[in-house]
Amino acid sequence: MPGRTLRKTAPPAAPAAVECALELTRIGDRWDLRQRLLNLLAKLFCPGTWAARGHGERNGGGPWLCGFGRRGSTDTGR
Amino acid sequence: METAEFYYVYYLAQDYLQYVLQESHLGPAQTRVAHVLRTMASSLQDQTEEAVRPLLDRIDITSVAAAKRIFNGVMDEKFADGNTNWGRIMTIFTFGGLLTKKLQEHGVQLTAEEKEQISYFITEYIINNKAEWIDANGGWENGFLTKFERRSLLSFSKITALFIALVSLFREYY
Repeated sequence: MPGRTLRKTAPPAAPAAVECALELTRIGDRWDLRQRLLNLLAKLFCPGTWAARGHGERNGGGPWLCGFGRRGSTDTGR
Repeated sequence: METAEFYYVYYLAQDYLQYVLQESHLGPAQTRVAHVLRTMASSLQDQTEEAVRPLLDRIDITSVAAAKRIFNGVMDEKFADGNTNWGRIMTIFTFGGLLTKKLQEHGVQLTAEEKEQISYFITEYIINNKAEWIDANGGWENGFLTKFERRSLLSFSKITALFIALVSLFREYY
């Protein structure tokens, strides 16, 4: 438009990179929240094992609810 | 000169990349942190790839230097809101893993030296930008492990199923 100065705009900061960052943020935050929830449930159901972990021990006894948490009873196999 | 902390993270990055690339000579993880990182981040790797791969397909990644530029740009953008948590820290590794895979797919021959360069820039980013947060949040041993190691012992689905079962039982009687 005559008489109007063109405003210089910065080139878009690689939109794909920005979207990547957004996705990674979402994934990271969701994973963190999930882990918080899991730890909270574990704390509720397995207070014994939780407390023992603080001293670097693994509680062999503990509430029966936590039996599935013992070595060899998980589904991770690692 | 790099610090012991630098080499600690560098080992984690190197071990994780080797794990993601499924290198045949890779033995068991040398530390508990590396082991948990392999287990946790590899489940996160699939989610990252599903969400981010189509976006990365729009960017040319044909050299380690280009990968480093993209990595630093995405990381700066990711933490631009000033928030950090362990989930976001894990995505640093998964994104590094994805970039490495993309380089391979582009036909870039990844020599040991190039893999070291990738591990190096991942480490550099963590040490320069996140070391303080990691220290303040218990470090790798007391922060990361405490938060994530448990999941490898107690399955999320089992705890959730148990929780739902207890709630149902409670509702039946009260």
